[in-house]
Amino acid sequence: MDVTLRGIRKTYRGGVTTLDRLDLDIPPGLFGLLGPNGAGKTTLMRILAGVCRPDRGSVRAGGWDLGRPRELRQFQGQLGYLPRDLGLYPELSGRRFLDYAGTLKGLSSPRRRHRRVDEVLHLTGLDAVADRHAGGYSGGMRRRLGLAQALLNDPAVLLLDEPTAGLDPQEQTRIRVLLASLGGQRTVVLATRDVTDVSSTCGRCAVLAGGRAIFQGDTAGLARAADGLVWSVQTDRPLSAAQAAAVVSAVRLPDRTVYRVIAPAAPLPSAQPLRPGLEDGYLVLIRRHGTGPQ
Amino acid sequence: MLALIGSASCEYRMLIRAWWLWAAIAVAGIAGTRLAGIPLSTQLIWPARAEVGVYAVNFNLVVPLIAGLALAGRAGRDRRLGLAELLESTGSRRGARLWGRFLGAAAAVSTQALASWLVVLLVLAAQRRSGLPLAWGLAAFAAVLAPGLIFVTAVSLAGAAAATPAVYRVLLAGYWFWGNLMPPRLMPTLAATPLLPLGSYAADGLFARDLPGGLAGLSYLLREARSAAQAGASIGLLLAVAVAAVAGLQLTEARRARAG
Repeated sequence: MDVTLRGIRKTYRGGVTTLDRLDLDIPPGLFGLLGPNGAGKTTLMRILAGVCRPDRGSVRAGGWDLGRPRELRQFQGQLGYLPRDLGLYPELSGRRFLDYAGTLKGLSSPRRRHRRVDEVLHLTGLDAVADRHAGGYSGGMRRRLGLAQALLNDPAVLLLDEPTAGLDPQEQTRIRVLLASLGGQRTVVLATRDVTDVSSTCGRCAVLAGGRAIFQGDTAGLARAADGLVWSVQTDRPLSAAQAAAVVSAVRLPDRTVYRVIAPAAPLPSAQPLRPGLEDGYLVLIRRHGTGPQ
Repeated sequence: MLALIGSASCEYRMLIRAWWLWAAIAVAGIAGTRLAGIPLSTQLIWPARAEVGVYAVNFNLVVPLIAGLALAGRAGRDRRLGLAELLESTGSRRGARLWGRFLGAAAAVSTQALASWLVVLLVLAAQRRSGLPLAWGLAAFAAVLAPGLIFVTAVSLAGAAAATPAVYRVLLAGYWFWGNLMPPRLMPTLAATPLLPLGSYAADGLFARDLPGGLAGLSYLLREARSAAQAGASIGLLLAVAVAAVAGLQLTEARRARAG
């Protein structure tokens, strides 16, 4: 299902504008939504989920105009949503919580609902803890339970806001592997600050900054934004302040330090050009826009 | 309808597992019946119906208050737990979820009160060696105890959404003692009106009519003798206020969602 946003503007009480004339086209498949804190990712996800209204602009998903309450409700029947800060009822088991979510999503037949609950529990690897109270779940289990509820109605559009935030590397990998299997005809929008989430799962992405999309296209195109700008610098001397500001990563070895640097020209005569990755392209765009770490 | 049933079932399931609420209601209810302080020799010569009516009012002295204190804040719980957005995105109707929550909560506290009330009835039945207190007791539960619990459930959901749960709890406790237990001859109080979740209107009008002066002659909760029609009006008023409170909360939530 194609999702199209045109001229979206959202200003919260207090006058903070989080989205400003945002235009975005989200095709079917896994779509990454990158951006620093405050870029407007969560507001955009909330608007797409229908829990927040834009002040201006239109959102269309498939044939539905989400500005119309009836059409929004029909769209929500095809939607799975994992909010960034998902809480759970601590006294309910994971299975009971999913059963409740299933009733709200309109899975009316108890037999079908229970079968679907078992399926998503299995898919998210929660079978063994399904009957434990959710209050005792780890952060990773809670995110997976959130993902399980989002999948209950086999949604055509899946919105996942920071699905790996705060998880240990093993849980992050587990969720990324799961996400990679969810694409196909489904439209999966993955909002994240972690470029690895996008590089390991998505074919297309957008970068939000200051409430606008400063990039949208395929992930290879995002990496190309840093073509000719990424350097490897090895030195045993400290870098100048200007050089240090351009460092992306640093590995300290016994006799020297190896820096990865984004700069328009070689920072030192010994610098070697590197092939840019997605993170390099992202950082170049964010720095160019002036919203990221300088 | 599915969302209403699902929400009611979920709320019921969560509250029914609150052991502390079972314990608090049992202690409050049974302690209330002990306050009746009616000698067994007196009570056994009353008709079973009247005896059950007196006990029902005493059982109800603070049970609805306990329920109200426990339920304050349930309406805003989804927001506090970070679940509101998720539930909103399911496409289910907000009103259905709210009414489901109200019905589930009312059913849960009623189940807990009924269990303790049945213990009281079994004791009364054993004293009389008769099943009559059980039969009248179930009727008294429906007419005296349940309307008060339903009223307090609704008002607590709505009231705690308007104020903070802590402020609401203080107000509820103040209202309960002033509007139910304060004898009207001492100061103007809602206790003199049919809006009486304590249930003494219903108990007096439907169960204690066979006693001279009704409950007024027997209980320290001094009331005038009531008719069956007044009892019915009191029950109807309690239920109507409950419905109005939940409907008001539904409107408030809808406005808040539109503003957000």
